Amino acid sequence: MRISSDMLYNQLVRGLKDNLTELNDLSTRLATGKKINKTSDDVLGTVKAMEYKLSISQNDQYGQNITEANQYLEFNDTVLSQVSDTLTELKKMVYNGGDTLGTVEDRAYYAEKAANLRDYLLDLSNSKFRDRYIYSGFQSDQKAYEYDMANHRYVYQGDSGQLRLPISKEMNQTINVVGSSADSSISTAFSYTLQAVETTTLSDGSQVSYTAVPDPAMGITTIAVTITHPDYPGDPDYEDSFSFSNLMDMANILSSAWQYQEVDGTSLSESKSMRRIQALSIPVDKAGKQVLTIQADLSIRQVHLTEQKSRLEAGTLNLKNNLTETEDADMTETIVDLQKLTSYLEALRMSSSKILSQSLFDFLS
Amino acid sequence: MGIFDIGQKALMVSQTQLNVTSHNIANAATPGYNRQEVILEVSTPATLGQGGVSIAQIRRYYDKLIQNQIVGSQQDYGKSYTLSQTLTAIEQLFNEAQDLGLADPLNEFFAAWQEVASNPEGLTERNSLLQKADTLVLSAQSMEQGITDILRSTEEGISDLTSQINAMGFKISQLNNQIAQVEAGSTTNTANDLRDQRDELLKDLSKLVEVSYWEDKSNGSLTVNIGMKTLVSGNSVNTLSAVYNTEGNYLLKLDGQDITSRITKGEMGGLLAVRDEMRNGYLPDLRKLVATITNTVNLQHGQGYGLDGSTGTNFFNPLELTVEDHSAGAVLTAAVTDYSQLTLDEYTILFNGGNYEIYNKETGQLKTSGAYNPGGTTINLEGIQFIISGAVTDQDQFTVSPLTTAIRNFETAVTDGQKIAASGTAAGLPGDNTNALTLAELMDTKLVALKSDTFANYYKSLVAEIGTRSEAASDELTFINNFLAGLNDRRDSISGVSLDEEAADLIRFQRAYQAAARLIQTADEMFQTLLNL
Repeated sequence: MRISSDMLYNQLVRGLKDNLTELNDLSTRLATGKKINKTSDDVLGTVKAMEYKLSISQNDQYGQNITEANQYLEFNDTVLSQVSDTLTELKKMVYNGGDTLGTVEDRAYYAEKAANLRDYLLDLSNSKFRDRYIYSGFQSDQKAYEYDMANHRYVYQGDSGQLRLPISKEMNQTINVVGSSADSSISTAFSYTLQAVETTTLSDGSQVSYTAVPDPAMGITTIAVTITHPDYPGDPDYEDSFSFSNLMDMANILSSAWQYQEVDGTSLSESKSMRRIQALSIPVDKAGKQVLTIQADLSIRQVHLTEQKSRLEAGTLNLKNNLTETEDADMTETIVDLQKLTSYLEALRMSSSKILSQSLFDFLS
Repeated sequence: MGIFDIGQKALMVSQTQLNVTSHNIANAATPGYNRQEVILEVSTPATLGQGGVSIAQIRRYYDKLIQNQIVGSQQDYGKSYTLSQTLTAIEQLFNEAQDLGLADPLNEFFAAWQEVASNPEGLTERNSLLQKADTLVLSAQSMEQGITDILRSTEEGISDLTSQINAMGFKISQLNNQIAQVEAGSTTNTANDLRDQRDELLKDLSKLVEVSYWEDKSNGSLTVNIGMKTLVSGNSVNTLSAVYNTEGNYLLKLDGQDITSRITKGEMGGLLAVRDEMRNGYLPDLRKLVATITNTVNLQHGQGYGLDGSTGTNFFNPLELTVEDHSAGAVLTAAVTDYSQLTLDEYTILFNGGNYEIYNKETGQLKTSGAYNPGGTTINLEGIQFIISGAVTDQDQFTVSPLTTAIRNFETAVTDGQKIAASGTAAGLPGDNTNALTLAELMDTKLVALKSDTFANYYKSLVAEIGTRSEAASDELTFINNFLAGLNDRRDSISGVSLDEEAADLIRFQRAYQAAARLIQTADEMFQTLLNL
């Protein structure tokens, strides 16, 4: 082949250009630490990397939600432990003070103590986490319960709202427990529900029946308690009825009964008062068990969240590995490539400077 | 013939050879220069005897086939080069490899809804959501701005190329004229250097635009066509002009005819192709994504309740319809009557013999048609009410688009965090987070307007499409570059100047000149001998 002067020159320029382009690519790779620096470097890799990044940041968000949910549940658990302790206390009082006629001082002490426990329960029911009342359902800016002076009852101001947080693409976790609800399928922390009418017989042979009366308008379930004696049907000395819709109501009725009073302060016969205290022993017991059940449920949720969190973290780690493999440059390889290229370039420069400078003209004299 | 005459001829021939050699050396680096050579022949005298040497021709080393191949490849090179340059620029706007683009803002926007869901009462989370929304808006807007900037410079490029092409056409016509004059009536005298210049111009021209050409053997003039219309013929030229069409795009006209669609190669072909890709692909695709985000988020947001009890609020500014009027005397107004019915398609409205026809602009599918009443025709289609009135002809056309201003008007409508509708019901305020949850879940919802894909996947395929196009263009450029380099090497191998050869020739022809001079000296001495007798 005939070689013209321009051919040599063009060849050199092309060689230099190719090498410098490659050099630029390699140094970009070194500078960014990535082998994909624009989509067209590796379209499939970019798309994969986008998927990994999206999943990683979604996992991060779910992880944050789980942390938030765990804190909420832990706080909830702490409050419920105190509720449980209070109910145990109340239960002891009902057992000890329910079937003996104590002295006036004894009764006053019990009444006082029950009232204290009632107020403590009210405090607990109005617990706040990050400025939210946690037992009010969605009505988190409202206290869960307030005392209605006119009707001498504790009124629920929340609703049945279940606060859910996404913890994965498919799963939402409920993080709150409501105070009361008209829906018997929703577990409640400060009221207890019955699936059917329950009855019991007191020590003097009186019959007690407990009926759940849901009130959807108020979002509560009232337990109506009626006491009758089979031997004295229709006798006003034996017939009695009262109702409560939450733990504070129960403690309030107990406190009044020890004072031989109705909740509104009117007097109540000694025998009726004693029967009321006895009749409340079952609800106090059941409420205590219910709180324990909820606590168990909360622990299950926490375990579930912790498991989910470690699943997410394992997933994220895996995704990060994949991402690194997809888009990160192998530094050792890049540096070796760079050194190889630099020596090629040097050789090219040296040899071409020799070839190009030579011409027949140099040898003519 | 005598020694004296032979010597004199040889002297002149050697001088010419030395001239040509020096011409070669001088033009060793001139682009498009074909090395020349003096072709000698034995000079035949009128009578018996030796006639010496004479010049048959000064020919240039020229391979027409390679030249044609180079011209053809230049067209491919021009196109690939432009495509690669422009697509690289577009690709940079969508460069997810450097976390530029929409993926992160989009994801963070929907993650912010989860944050709101985790604390629906909190204004901090709500304000953070508004900021994420603003980031999403700004990212989308800067991407659109980037594409429209590239689009504008592409249009400017088309107009600039037009003037360059016209200037080259004019030069070729001048050279045609000169070549015809030089070569007129001569069979041996070819205008080598003028032809080199014209070849080089043709090569440059073909880099800019797809040309077809042929040489008129009778006068050596070159006819150049673009898009089957004549640019240069002999010494006359037509002007290629870029004129705006109704949609604001440049059309190319030559000799009174629209030749835009016939230009597929050269830089012009590249610019036209990439312009259409942007106008019909990347820009509407990006707009559709944003329009879908706007509409979907708004519809869901409107169903929820803000902390202040507000409901039916748009989170982003609602979509607006743009009407393009290509009619003489008719008026069309279009308004959205039901945002939930919007398919986010663009519509073309045509008229045919007194009937209106509404087509999906992208797919060409006929959506509805009916009798047109110039007094006023109301059409309800997919959540849009079209009202057309006035006289129409079959040439009239309207387009209605919910996409054109989707990014320009993209803005967060909610400015007060209280109005963010996280709650699903009025009664559930303030702790209800169900609507925020539903909004967060939109990120993973497959949407019909996005070809039944999620926001992230739709965007991902857009990024992949641009990346693939850019990769293909740069691969093509590398290929054609190497191919062209090979062709140029072959051309240089035949036509290029080798200084070594010329140096050798210089010595050879100098020696020949010296020998011819010696002939004359010998003849002179012989003559002197005769005189001294």
